[in-house]
Amino acid sequence: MLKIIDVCKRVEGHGDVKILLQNDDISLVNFQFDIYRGFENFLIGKKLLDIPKIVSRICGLCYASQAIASCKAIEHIYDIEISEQTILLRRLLMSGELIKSHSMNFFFQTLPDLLAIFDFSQKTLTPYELIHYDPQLASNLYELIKIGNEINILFGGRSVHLISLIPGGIIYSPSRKNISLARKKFQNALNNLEWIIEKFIELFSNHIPPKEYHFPHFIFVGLSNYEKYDRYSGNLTIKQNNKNLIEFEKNNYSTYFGKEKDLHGIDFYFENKKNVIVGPLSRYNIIENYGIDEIINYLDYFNKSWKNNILFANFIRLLEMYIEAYHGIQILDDPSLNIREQFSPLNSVKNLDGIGIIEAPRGTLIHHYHLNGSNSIDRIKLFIATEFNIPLINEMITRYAKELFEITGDINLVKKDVQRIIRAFDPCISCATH
Amino acid sequence: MKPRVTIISLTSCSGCISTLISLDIFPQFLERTRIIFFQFILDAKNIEDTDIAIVEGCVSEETQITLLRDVRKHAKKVYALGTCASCGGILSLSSSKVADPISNYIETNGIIPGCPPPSKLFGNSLIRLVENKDIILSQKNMCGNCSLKRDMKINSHINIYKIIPNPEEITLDEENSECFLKNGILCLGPITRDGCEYKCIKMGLPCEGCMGPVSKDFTSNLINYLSLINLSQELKEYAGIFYRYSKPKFRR
Amino acid sequence: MDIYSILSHPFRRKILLLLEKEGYILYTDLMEKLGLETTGQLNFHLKKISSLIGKNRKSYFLTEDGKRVLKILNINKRILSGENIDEYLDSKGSEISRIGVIICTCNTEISNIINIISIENYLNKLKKVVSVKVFENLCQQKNFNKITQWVKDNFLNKIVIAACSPRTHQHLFERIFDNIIDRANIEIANIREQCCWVHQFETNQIDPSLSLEKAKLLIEAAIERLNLQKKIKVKRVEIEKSCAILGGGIAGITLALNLARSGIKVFLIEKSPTLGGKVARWHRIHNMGDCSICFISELISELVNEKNIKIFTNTEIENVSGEVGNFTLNLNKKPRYIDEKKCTGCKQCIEICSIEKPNQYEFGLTNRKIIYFPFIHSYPYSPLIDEEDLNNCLNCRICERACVNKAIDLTQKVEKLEIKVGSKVIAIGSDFYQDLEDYHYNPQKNIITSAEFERILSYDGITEGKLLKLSDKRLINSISIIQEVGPSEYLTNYSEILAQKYIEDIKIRNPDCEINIFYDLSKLKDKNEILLRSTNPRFLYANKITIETNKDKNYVVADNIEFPSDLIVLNLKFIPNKDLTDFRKYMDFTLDDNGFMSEETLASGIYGVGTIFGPLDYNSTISSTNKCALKIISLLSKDYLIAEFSGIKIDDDKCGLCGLCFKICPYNAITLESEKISIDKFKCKGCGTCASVCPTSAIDLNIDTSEKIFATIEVFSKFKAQPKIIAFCCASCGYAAADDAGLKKISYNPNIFIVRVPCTGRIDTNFIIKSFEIGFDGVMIIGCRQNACRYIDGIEKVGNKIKLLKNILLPKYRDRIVLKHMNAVEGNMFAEISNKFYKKLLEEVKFEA
Repeated sequence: MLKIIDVCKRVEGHGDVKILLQNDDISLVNFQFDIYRGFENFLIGKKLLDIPKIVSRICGLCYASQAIASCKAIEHIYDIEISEQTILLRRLLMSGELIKSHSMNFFFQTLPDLLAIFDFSQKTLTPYELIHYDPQLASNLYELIKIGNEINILFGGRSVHLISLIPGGIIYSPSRKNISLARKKFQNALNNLEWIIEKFIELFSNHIPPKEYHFPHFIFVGLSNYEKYDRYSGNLTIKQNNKNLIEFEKNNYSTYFGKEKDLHGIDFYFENKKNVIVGPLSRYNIIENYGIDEIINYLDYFNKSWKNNILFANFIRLLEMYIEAYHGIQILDDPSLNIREQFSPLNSVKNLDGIGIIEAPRGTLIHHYHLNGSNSIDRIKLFIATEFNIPLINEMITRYAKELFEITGDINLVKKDVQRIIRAFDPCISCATH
Repeated sequence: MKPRVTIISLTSCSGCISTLISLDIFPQFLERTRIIFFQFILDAKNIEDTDIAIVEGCVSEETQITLLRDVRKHAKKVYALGTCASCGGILSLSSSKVADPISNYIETNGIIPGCPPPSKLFGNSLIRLVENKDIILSQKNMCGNCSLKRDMKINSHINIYKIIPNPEEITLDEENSECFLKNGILCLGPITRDGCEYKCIKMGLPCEGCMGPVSKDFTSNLINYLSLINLSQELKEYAGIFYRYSKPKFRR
Repeated sequence: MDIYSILSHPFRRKILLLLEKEGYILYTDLMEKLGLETTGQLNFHLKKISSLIGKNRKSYFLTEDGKRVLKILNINKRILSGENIDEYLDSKGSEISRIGVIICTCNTEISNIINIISIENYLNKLKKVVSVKVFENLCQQKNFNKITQWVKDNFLNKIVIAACSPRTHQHLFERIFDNIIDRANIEIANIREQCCWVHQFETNQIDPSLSLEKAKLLIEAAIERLNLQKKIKVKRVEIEKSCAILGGGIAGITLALNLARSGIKVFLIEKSPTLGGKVARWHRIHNMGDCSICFISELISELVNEKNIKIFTNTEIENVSGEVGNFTLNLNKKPRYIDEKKCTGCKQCIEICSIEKPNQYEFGLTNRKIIYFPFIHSYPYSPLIDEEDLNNCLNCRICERACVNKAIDLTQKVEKLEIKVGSKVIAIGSDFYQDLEDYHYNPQKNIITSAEFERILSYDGITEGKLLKLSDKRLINSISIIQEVGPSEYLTNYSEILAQKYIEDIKIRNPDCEINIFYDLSKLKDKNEILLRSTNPRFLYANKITIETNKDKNYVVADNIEFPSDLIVLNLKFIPNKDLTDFRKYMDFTLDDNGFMSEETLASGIYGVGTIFGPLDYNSTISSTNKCALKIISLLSKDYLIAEFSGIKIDDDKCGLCGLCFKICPYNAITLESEKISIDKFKCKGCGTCASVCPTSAIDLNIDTSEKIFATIEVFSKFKAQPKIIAFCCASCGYAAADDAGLKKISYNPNIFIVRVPCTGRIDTNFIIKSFEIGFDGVMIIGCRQNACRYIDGIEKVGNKIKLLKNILLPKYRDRIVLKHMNAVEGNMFAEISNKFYKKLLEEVKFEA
């Protein structure tokens, strides 16, 4: 038995690919992380109001999602309604975060892969080379990163670990100036995205994606609001093989999955659990119709061979950025954004369990806090998007690695290609190693 | 000749990296340097000789110490990026995990503090590094330039009874808001390095100390600070505040 | 040869440098290279350095001496390359460290325990040490010349003396180097009290190699500290030839006269409206025929006529600032509501006033009007209205109209005064013990205090000197006097004299009166002393004394024997003046165990006389006053003093104006001036409490810098044996207690290392954390007794820090911090605590291993 460990490159955080070789055959390929930071342990006993700030530090890419899920869980504990303004601002912050996260992933991680897979370039391009390869594309993408960043700074106070996200509401009311500035930013984003999406279509839509990136029959998990796209307040939905749509209340999540034995992995309580996927693709499959005409047009450029392929997630990510920018402008025009309401007091604990669910850029994120009799936290469960995807990632990379190794026998090629699949999922290792 | 740059991530949230990438000057940074190791965006595998090494994240595993020493050997200058690398960071709250600043193991040439580092300071520091200059940090704490302090330049009315204010207790009116300490809310401004552009305070929240201390260590400073005050029950019970971003080494 | 003055000019440094570089240089070349145009200038400089250079066929070169100077001075390029070193040369202290070490064998006290040669070898290997010298008895005069020669020969500017405790001979050693080395640059490694005398291996089975190692580290730490010593500023203070005396009692008055007659301007400041203090109300003073008021009023009239004396009655101190030679006192003169200049003392106003209240100057035995004379011979001789009484009075203003001279002015306000003096004397006296419930104290029922009895005996008192009962004004036929009424911890030295005086006075008035004097032994700690002291047959010693009342008749029950008494007199003890604690805010002294002022701790320029030191009789008070007068005269006879400011310094570049120092300073010495923190150098006593909380290290002490303390800890951490204990001791008590253990040769373990801090309030949490980080197993903090801190409350401040620190530490570490209070003579306690702590840690360390 030979164990080969390769550090996974161009992913967020520090992860390894472990390849087990048995009798010159690959027996298992695992995407794994050595470091677990133990947030679920050390958050026990901390002050409730302090938790969003701490969990934000789980991840430097999904900071807003983590903090908002945490806020939602705490608001669930206190059983309070938050103001419309707060919800709108949180949605804006989530849009900013998603645009930043997706564009960063596309620029630095998947675009170089795509160019290599479809033979536009001989080698994987470095960012520096990419800028020189297509300056317009690079600058448009970079503009997007900055727009996402600016939105967070405008409404959250800083680029990462947003200040304004606190349980009970948002402490900061946006000024007129900031709103008009943000509108300009989103408009810019839309223009950029149109260009980038068209470029993507121009580059890739005529190609057939390699079959190793095809995926089996999936179980999609995600949030939807009566089958509409809603990352903040939708219900949990499970969809299998394009049917069996189950929509359920957040309190009932434990019927379908949970975290019992091990805090570093999710247990699923249904069959084919290796096929669970969350994230953009999952959202796409659950929702199907985003309610924006342009999106339907764009989707028409790709045939079925694309839509059953994990590489299609890259295109969905571009579309999601477009949707978020589109929605962002709608929110900025909403008059409720300017109506400040009194904070609901966070004094009396109503529920001992608090569950907060949202769709982070990489998929469903669940925070579940449990209080003991004396109102201090004694159990915490965090369900992170990447954790949902890990069984599937491992399944896909093992299958593909076996095939590839049988054909080529080149372990270095296996290492390289396996990582491409992993990157197509856009795993967030910081989150997963919470 | 462009300076060669290595960027290493240890145990962290990658927030510093994402801030780095979204900096206005990042494309310029790419142009003016030759990045030879940066796992987030590059495929490179090995640590090679480098002019500037920037380390992000705290040291929590044995293997990271080896990596750090290797980096130090190959690098002319090593800088700690973010509060994790310079003070220990959020993981200090954990009682079972180690969260050491890199300076516990290797000599560093400077730090860029903050969680995340404030973009102005971060950008300026990067430019200075590229130009082969040292990073300039403020040697003062936050109070001197704090907008809430106004005329009562010296704070003799420190009177704290709350660590984490309930949102409704915070004055939202920017014009009339007063120093948190005067209102009985713990603000770590006095023991925190200036340079974050007062982001939390501008948003109406007290300082949490993410920029780290100017001198001494975070815990000592906090104890010295709180020893001046008649503590309320809430503060006495809440030990977590003492290691929000760093913890003394000997606790292990 | 003064090497510094030779090198002070950049040309001369350049010449030496050039010669060292090129070997031989012609005169003309030299001129060209220096850019000089006239030969005169060059000749002048060459002449100055003539002892270091030689001339050979028109070429100059460095002589052996010159080479040696360049070599041994090892002056770095920074200085020789022309950078201005004047700055270093002018100030005492220097950034260039040339450290010499003197080891004193102390006859054989030190050399018997540790191997001096081994230490010498060790020190010689240290880079920072230039030369090591062993002397047999450093404190003996005969070696002084040798030492100064050695210092000059080696161009030393800093000296470490490894000898006895700085508390023993520091001043002597400083005097040896008076003209060559500044005080700040002399550091004493206390290897006698802290090592040799407490780690004697023969008797206590202490590993001798550990003692030796400890001695080495103690010296090395002193070297490190000295190496970090920066220059300090020196200040010259002109002496104000005047003195403020606080308190116008007998002590204050006597002292004022003494000083004024020797030409010193005196400000006599009294809180109450009249001079005279307690003695003025006495009937007479023992052994003096004169009645005391006659005697006092004579003194007062002398006082009033002395042109050098200025009297402020009814005046309180608001603030004191400054330092020896130049104090500033801010005074509040309370309104008297009567213009003393206009008042003739006709008493018209008093007669007409209709409200009465008990007269506190008659101890409440008689009543007085709102407008009143404290007593008949009070000075100034004019009536007054108490400030607080004015609000209670009818406000009828009859008195105003009654005054013929229009002397009454009810609109008077507090008058603020400022005076400058060279020294100040505290003579506020003491208070009487007041907790008399056990004795059924009640003047109306004939149980009275000694003070009230004086008023009965006085001819101007309530009974006009007759021995009458206060209840029914009938003659007193039996008197019981209970002695030493008050705290049991101490005895008065006047109780017997007073009792004897009472016996004499009673006999004059009623020869048949039965007098019994009682001592209650159950209420006295030093019973034996009382029994030994007294021989008077009239004195009765009882193990228990109670007072009982039966049908208006009082009995003293002494060991079950009843003594019927017409009058019971409680002879009260003095207790510390309640104002003493307030005074500590602006004057530097501490209180002793009984709460009286401790004389040794008075800061320079501040003196105390009278009963503030404890319960003294009249004669002792007067003699202490005379001694004090001599001290003050000798201080004020100088024209100026040279003072080093050993307090704190503030780095404005680091100060963020958070105000923590402002809040913690016990003396309010930190103020804000034009948006900058500034120190009132007169108020600052250098305790360093502010530096301990400064989050940016903007504040540091001038001498006991944090840097030095860290360097010391670091050196000590090299000690090889486990467990290692660091003991932070405050200079006034903890360190002295450790010395005391040394002087008594009480052994404790060598694993304990003592770091001296000015005050325990100086201890930063960081010191403790750092100590643990670099490998110490235990931290001891030894400070003053509670409520007796030299710097008011430093010990409590460090207590708060430790409480918080323990709160967050793992249980294992919680017991590894020990905070103890001691005073300077409790060496045995220091040793005991150290040994106990050591044993505990030893077991824990073994267990962990």
